[in-house]
This record gives sequence, C-alpha cells and structure tokens, in this order.
Amino acid sequence: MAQLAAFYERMFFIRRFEETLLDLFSLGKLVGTTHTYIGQEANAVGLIDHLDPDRDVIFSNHRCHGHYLAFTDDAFGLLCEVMGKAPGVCGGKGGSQHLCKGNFYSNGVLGSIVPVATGIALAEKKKGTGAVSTVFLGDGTLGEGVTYESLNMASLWQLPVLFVVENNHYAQSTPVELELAGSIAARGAAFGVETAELDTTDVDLIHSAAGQAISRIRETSAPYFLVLNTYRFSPHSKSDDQRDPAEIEERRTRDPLLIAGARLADDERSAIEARCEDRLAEIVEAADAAPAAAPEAA
Amino acid sequence: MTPPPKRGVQALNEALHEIFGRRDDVYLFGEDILDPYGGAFKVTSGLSDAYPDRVITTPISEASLFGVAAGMALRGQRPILEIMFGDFISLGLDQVVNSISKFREMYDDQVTVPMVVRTPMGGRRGYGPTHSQSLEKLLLGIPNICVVAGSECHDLGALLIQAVEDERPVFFIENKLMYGRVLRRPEDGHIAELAVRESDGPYPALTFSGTDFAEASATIVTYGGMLPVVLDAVTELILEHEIFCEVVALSQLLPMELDTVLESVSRTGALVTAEEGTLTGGFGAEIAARVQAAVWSDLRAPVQRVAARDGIIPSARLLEDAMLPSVDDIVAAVSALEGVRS
Amino acid sequence: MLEIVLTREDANTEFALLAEWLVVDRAQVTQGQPVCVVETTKATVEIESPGAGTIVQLFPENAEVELGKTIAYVAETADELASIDAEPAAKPAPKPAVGDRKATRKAAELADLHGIDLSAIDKRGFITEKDVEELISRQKASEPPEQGQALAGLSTEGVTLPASFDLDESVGALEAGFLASIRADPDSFRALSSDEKVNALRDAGAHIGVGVDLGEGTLVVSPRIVIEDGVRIGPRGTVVCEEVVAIGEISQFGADLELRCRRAFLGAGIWAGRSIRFGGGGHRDPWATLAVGDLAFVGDEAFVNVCRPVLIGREVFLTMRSIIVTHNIGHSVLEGFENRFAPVVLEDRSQVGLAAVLYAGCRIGAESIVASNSYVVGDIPAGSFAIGVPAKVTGKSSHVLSGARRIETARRMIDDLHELLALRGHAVSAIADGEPRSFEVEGTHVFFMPAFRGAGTAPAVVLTLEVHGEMADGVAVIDLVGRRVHGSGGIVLDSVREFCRKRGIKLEPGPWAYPGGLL
Repeated sequence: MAQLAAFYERMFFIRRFEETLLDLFSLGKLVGTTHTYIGQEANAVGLIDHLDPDRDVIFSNHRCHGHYLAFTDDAFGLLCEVMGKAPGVCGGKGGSQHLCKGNFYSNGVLGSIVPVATGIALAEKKKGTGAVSTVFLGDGTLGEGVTYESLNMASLWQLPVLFVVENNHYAQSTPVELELAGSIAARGAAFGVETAELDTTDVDLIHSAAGQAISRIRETSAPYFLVLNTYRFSPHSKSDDQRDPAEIEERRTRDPLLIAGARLADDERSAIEARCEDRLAEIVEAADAAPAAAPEAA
Repeated sequence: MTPPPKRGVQALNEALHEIFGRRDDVYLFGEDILDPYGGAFKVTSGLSDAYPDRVITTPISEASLFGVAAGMALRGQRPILEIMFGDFISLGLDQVVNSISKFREMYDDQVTVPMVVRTPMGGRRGYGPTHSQSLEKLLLGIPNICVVAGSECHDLGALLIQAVEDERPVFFIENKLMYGRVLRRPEDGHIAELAVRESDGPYPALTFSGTDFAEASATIVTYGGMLPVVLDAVTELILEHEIFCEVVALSQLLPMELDTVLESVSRTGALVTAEEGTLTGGFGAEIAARVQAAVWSDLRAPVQRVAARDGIIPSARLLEDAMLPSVDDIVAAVSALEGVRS
Repeated sequence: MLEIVLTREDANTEFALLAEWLVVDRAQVTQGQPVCVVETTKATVEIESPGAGTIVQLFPENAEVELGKTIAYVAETADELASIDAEPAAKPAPKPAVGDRKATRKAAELADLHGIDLSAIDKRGFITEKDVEELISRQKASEPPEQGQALAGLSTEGVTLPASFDLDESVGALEAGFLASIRADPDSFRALSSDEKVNALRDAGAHIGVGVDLGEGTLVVSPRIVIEDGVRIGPRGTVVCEEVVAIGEISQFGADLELRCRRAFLGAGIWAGRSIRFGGGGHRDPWATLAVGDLAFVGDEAFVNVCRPVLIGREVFLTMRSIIVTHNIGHSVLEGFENRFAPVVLEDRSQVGLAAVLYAGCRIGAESIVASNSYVVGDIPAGSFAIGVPAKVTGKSSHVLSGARRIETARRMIDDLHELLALRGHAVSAIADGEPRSFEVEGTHVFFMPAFRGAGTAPAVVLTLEVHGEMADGVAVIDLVGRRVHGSGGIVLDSVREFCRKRGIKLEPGPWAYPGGLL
C-alpha cells in the first residue's frame, strides 16, 4: 500500500501541476505554449519508478512534464522554465518542450529524439554503465521515418533502448484512425524487438509490465517496444480540442487517479492531496516571485 | 630532406589513426567504412581492423545517424560520422538544425555535443547533380555549429584532430579532389613562388601573396577545393599580366571570422570571393556583406563573387565545366576590378 | 609498341601518385619486371612491364596521374623508339601548375631583349619586369660599356666573330693631332687620291695593309684604324667611327658606303654591294658595336641600325635592301608605350632574303633562312625556314639528300658547267658519257666521279664526293662535300671554283672570288 500511496501522490501532483499551468496560462503567466499530460499520469509514474535517475536516461517529447516530474521531482525548476523565469531548469531558454536535467532530456520535434535516444543507448552500452535509454513516443511519432531507422539500428546493434509508445489516440487533432495503418505493436516486432502492449490506466498494471520490460533490457541489453494505450483529457496544448465531449466523459470513468485513489483510504488520499496542494502553492508563489530570465548585462 | 609527398586521403587517414590511438572515446560511424573496403574514398582504411569496437558500419540511415551521433556526444563520447557524399547531409539537416546545434544552448550549457561530421563535397568528377554539390552554404546559416573545410595547402590531419578535440559540433568538409591530390604545405614561408602566412587559432587561414605582402590589386577569399583553381588563376594573372592578388584560404567557415580577410583587404582595396557552391545566398554573399560593412572606405570597387551558376551540376564533363567556377571566371572577376580602378 | 596504362578500377578514385620509378628512363626492361610504384587512394602497387624493350617514361616521379592515362611506352624495336621520339606529342605536356614558371611574360620578354639570363636574378618568388629592370640598371651602373664588354650579356654562341674583334687595342691608333685635322676638314681628306689617303693614315699610325684601295671621295676616320691587305672601299664612301674600325683582308665594299658606328669590326673576304648603310640613330651610343664575320655577303642598299650591338656571323647572307633595326620609335614610356632597345644577332651561315626586316631583339639561328619581305620579331631557331609578317617558322632551311640523289646532283653539275662554258664560246669537247662523266676544255679534262681513289691523268680537274689517296701532279681534286681543293691548277680550276661558289659551295683554301677564270 505504501507504493500505491506514493504512486498516487506523484500522479496527483502531476495532475495538479498541469492544471495549474492551464490556470497560469489563462492568467497570461506562461510563455509560449504547453502540452499537458492530464490523463496519462499512470504511464510516467508506473514506468519511471523502475528507472534510476543517476544511471538511466530518458529522452522525452513535447508532452514531457509528467515524465520530467516523475524522473526528477523538480517542479520548481520546471515551473520557472515554463514561466520564463531565471531559475528555470534551462534558464528560460528551453521552455516547456526543451528540458534537460541530469539524465533527462526532451525536445520538441517529433521523431528527432528517437535516434538520439538510440545513440545514448549505444554510448551507455559502450561505456558499460548498464543504463537503459528510455524514449517516449506517441501515436503521432510513428509517422516519422527516423523512428523505424532507429528501431532497425537498436535491434541490429542490440541496444538497451526502451521505446515507449503512449498511444493517446490523437495526433494533435487527428484521430489515430486517420494517421496510422496497421498494428502499432507489430511495428516493433517487425524489427525483431521484443514487444508488449497494455490497454489500461491502472498504474499497478503499468508498473508491473514496465518492470518486466526494463528487467528484460537489463538482462539482455536488447531493445524493448512497449505500447501503452492511453488517453489525454486535456487538449493537445490549449483551446484546440475538437473531440466529442461524450468520448472524453467516457474516458474519464477510467481516470488513473480514480482507479488508484479508490484503493486508498479516504483520509490517506485527502492527506496526500492536501500535501500536494500545499507544495504546489509554495512553488507557484516562489516561481511567481522569481526574476524573469533576461540576457546577461553586456 | 623534404618528406615524401602526402595525398589528402593519407593525411586524413593518419590523423584518424592518431586520434583513435590517443583517445578511447572516439567512435567512427558511416556506411561501408569497414576494412578491407575502408570507405568509399578509403579515408577510414585500416581503422576497423585496429579498432573493431569503435568503428561501426551503419545502415543507410543518414537522417538517424546524425541523431545517433548526437546521442553519443551527449553522453560524453566523441563520435565521428562519415557521410559518404556531402549531398546527403540534407537527410540529416533536421538533426543538425533541431538537435545538434541546439542542445548546448537550449539546455543552458548543461551539455556539449562534441561530434564531427566528415563528408566529401565538390564536383569536377562527373558524378552528376546529386553527388557533386558543395552544400556548405546550407550549414552557414545554422548557429552554434562549426564548419571547417581544409584545403590542399592546410595541415589537414591537424585540422581533423582539432575538430575531434573541439567541444562544438564540427562539420568537416573534405573536397573530393583533395583526396587524390598531393598536399602542399608551406616550406620556408612559401608554397612555390607565393609567400604564405598561416594565422593562429584552431582552424588557421592561409594568406598567399606574390608580392611578399606588399600592396596588391585584390584579395581573393576562398576555401577547400576552390583553392587550387584560385591559385592557378592568381598565377596566370601574375605571369601573363603582372596583376598580383592575395589569396586568403579560410579553413573555418563558421563561425565566420574574417580578420585575415580584412587585413588583406587593407593592403589590396578590393575583394573577390570564390566558392564552388551556387551563387545565391552563399559563402561569398555573407563575406561580401560583412566586409563591406566593416571596411567600406578601404574598398575601391564592389565585391565580386565567383561561384557556380544557380542550377544543377550536370554529369557530362563539358556541361559540368560550364557550370562550375573556373580559372577564367576568377581572372575575369579580377580584371573587372582592374577595369573599375582605371 | 607496348603501353603502360594506369587502369581505373574504382569510381571514387580519379588520380594516383606515381611515387617512384624503379628503372631509369630508356632502360631495357623485361616482361613482368616491376618498373614503378604507384599509390592510389586504395593501395600502393608495383606496376610491371607488359613486355621486353626500352622504357620511355612520360611522367616524372611524384607526378599525379589521372587514371586511364599512359605513363610509359615500352618500345620493342629501334624503329618504335624512333617513332616515339619523332612525335613529341606522344609525350603529354605536363599540366602547368604553380611553380612551373617563375618569370612573368613581361619579365621574360624584357630579359630576352637585353640578353639577360633570368637565373642571374636570385629571388624567392616571381620575377617581374621590375626585377629585370633593376638588374639592367645595376649592370649599367657597375659595368660601363667598353670595347670587349660592349656585348655584356649578349650571347655570341653560333656567331664566329671576325679576328679583329679581339685585336690588341694598341694596333692602329692614330695620332691625336692628325685625327683632329681630318675631323676638322674631312673634305680635304676626301679629295686626296687613294694612295695619298693610305700613306697619310699609315704615317699617322693606322695599320693599313698592301693593295688597299680607298675610292675617290671616300673618307675614313677613326681613333683606331686597322685595314688588312687587299681591302677595297668604293667611291664616295664614308667611314666614321668613334673608337675603332677594323676590316679584314680582301673585303670589298661598293660605292656610296656609309659606315658610322662607335666600334666596327668587319671580317675578311666580305663582299658588300653599293649604297650600303651601317649607322642610323644612336650609332654613337656606348653600346653601338658592329661585328660582321668573315665571308659575309651584304646586298645593295642594305641598312643596319647599330645603336645596340649587331652581330653578323660568318658566311651570312644579308641580301638587298634588308633592314636591321635595334630600336623602335615610340611615344612616352610614362604613358605605357614600349620603348625598345635591343641587339640583333645573325648566327653563322644564316640567310636573310630581299627586303626583309629584322626587328630589335631578334636572333636568327645558324643556317636559318628568312624569306624575302618577312618581318622578324623574336627568335628563329637554327636550321629553320621562316616566312611572313610577322615571320613564322614553316619548315627547315635544308633537306637531307640521299647518297644516290647527291651523286645525281653532283653529276649534273658537269653538264651545267659544260653548257655554260660552251655558251660563253669556249672550245669544249663533247661530254663523254659513262663513268667518269667528263669533258675537255683548254686542254684540261674536267671529271666527275663519286669517289676519287688516287692518280689521274694531268692536266685535270676532278669533282668528287670522297677523296682517297694521292693525286698526280697537275691534277686538282675538288671535294664537293668537304668543300676543299686538293692540288693546284690554272685557269680551269679557277673557273670551276667560281662555278661551285655560285651553287653555294665555297671551297677552301680561299679566297672565294676568282676574277681570273673563264667565267
């Protein structure tokens, strides 16, 4: 139960962090755009629990806040970064999609990150660190050719890459049926990469499947292709949602927070939520007060 | 005793062996680079036999290989990526523009991307439109990368070793004709009858003068495979017309540093740029803009640009010759300056 | 003939380095013998000879050779070797590269004009017109022109200078007072008879031989005068030199000669026509030096400008109205116009046709022919035939005759001589056909035989191409190839000698003028 409480706390914090960003965006306190992770929290939390931030590497995409928070727990650095504040993790230069801290990287061009993650796996393998290089893809990224070049090389060279496809069924506004042919899981299998597919928002199930995948990688030093069918409740970025509200409502019945929260005692859940709210409030206040990122005085 | 003549391919090959021997974090990626084949132009000959774990032959996946190399570099290794023909860098430009050139600055200097992309450029071999281009100018507009193009008068091996040691991503452009040509380094401050000065810095510029750096008629700035063409033109101008030009052969094209060019222009008062790439938006255009802004009052005539015609590079020899800049084009450009003066 | 070709085996390799020849050029090689080491981008390989023979290398060591090119021939026979040598085009000209040439075109032209060897300029870098100009002015400053040094830098190769050129300076010096008196009153000197002029000059210190004839109204004045035996200068002549005039024995000059030059050295046996002029602008310049070799011919109305040295070799033909100039006339050098002063050299046995013009700086090689009315700028190589304005070499000046053709040509000379004597009314016998071909005139037999092998019936004149053995008394043998007379003879021998001279066969011992013959 302690593990589930911890998962719940991480998921709840991510949810509230992303919701807070949307509020701050409405208040004009965010720069640029942001892509929230609302609805997909179980993937990041369940999977990243198996990774060692001091050894393993993550390369994430434009929708990277959940991964970042689950891996680094650096909410203040992220918020400042998204708000264009000097203490931001990349000094305000990267913003929402371009994060780097320790062994965590993200970038905003779909597909571009996949070969880089493959190269990272090659470097770590050559160095003999035993690190796993995890790269987060979406259903949309499967339209990019370099994904398949990377799968080919990772398999050919037996590199410790975990390809995670978070299929949230929408590439921005385009439903997966209009952008993707064939089976997602078969794509990994076609390159001789061990593949698993889950259709759940239950963090425990995801944790278990990811654990198996990562164990296999550590055992064989070979790539693994993990498909997580999921759903985001929030728009792609902001105010660009044309989906059927009924569909969203139906998916909300499978909200990972509901599923995990139901397994906790009410008072424990309330305590976790209160703790998260307090922490978030402090972070927002501090970030709001932080100086804006500005060019160094000449 | 003068050392035996060394061809470009030998110098580069020896440099690779040297840097592999010196550092165990250097890796080489590319297509068909394994021994006994040793790469399409044989630059990597003998490396895979000596370092089988660090020389990796790859699928034909340029677009990804740029990213793989970037990933290696992010994690503290020194990858060298050989792209068989420079024309194929277009396949990897997404990685160059959105990853390789950006990581260091957008991650607020938390990382470096010390990688080298080695690739042959240039025509005059009849390879046709997609295997003959000089696409350096596509790279010149990308901030935060280094573009290095040695010539047959540079210490090519030293340039390559420097590129591998560089913390920045370096594009190392190798002119195809240079592989087979005998390198000519300055001896006693001269190459043939021309006095030569080599600038300081990691990627030196060479300045050639037929007047021992006294006054001359014009400065011709060039790089890489155009240098022998320019030197032939300069020699013809001297021998046939007693018109003396200085030549600046840059090896560092980006970041663009023009101190040597400005110094030379202060002696000559006129500038011609010479490049093998197409004219519009090129190396010469950038230099012309910078030099005119910096030393307008030193110039007695508009900067002349010599470059390839804005079109494709045909395969047939005569058509290719007509497309690419020639000795005659350079002589004509300098003569045009002379006309302005008189 | 076999070829050694660098084969192209790889699409990405265009050139190879010819690192080393393992055999010297023209060595005998055997099939399969390694002859050179070639480096391509792929490998270093030894190339073997495809067969046995003489190797002719077409590229030097360390040359970059385009793959597909022939780098050497292997000549299997002497004929093949000769055919390779006969066709210089078979050897590809090396690609011009930086460093192949050091001197600019302007520098080379200027050096050429002044006869300067560019290797005298010790300089790192290109040699420019300015470098040559500086050298010229340094030479001028350090070497003021003197006799003997007046030719400084000018090559006399191919030119047999007259013996007087090296004459001791003490010979023939005139008393200053006498010299001054002629200069003050030349007309009085002109009015004297030849003997009076000769005696007066001798008395004043001039070296004048016997039988010298100075024509009516002819003036000769110079601080040094050396005139050898038998020299004749026609009427109304003017010889005025600032330093020296020397003329070798029996040289003859027609009427109205004008010879004005700081230093004039004329050889022996020169024959010069009428109204010939040596001089013109600059004839008193420090460089004004004229040398005319022995047995030269100068045609009527020839004009030789002498402000810079003019060297005319032995047996040179400079025919009627031909012109030699050693400077041009132009506008200001400060406006970029060329101002040219340069020597002219005619090497031995060269020939200049009627009214040809030789421009400042040109050099006519030995035995070359310049056709009439040609205009020569620059050098004509030895043994060539040049024609046109400007003159261009179009062929050789002579042709090699086969043995049979030479015999046939010589034999026909007997017929020509016979016909000529008959037409002039001399009593000649019919030609005896067969060998030797002969006829009789004035009681003397004239023969042609391809080879003379001794004896003969006197009196006789024998023309032959080879001389073996001794001739009898009263038999003269003329070696037409060796151009030499053996033995002696009278009026008929003189006639044959004269006949030969008009066919270009000048026989030794001289002289070559025979006023006493039948012709």
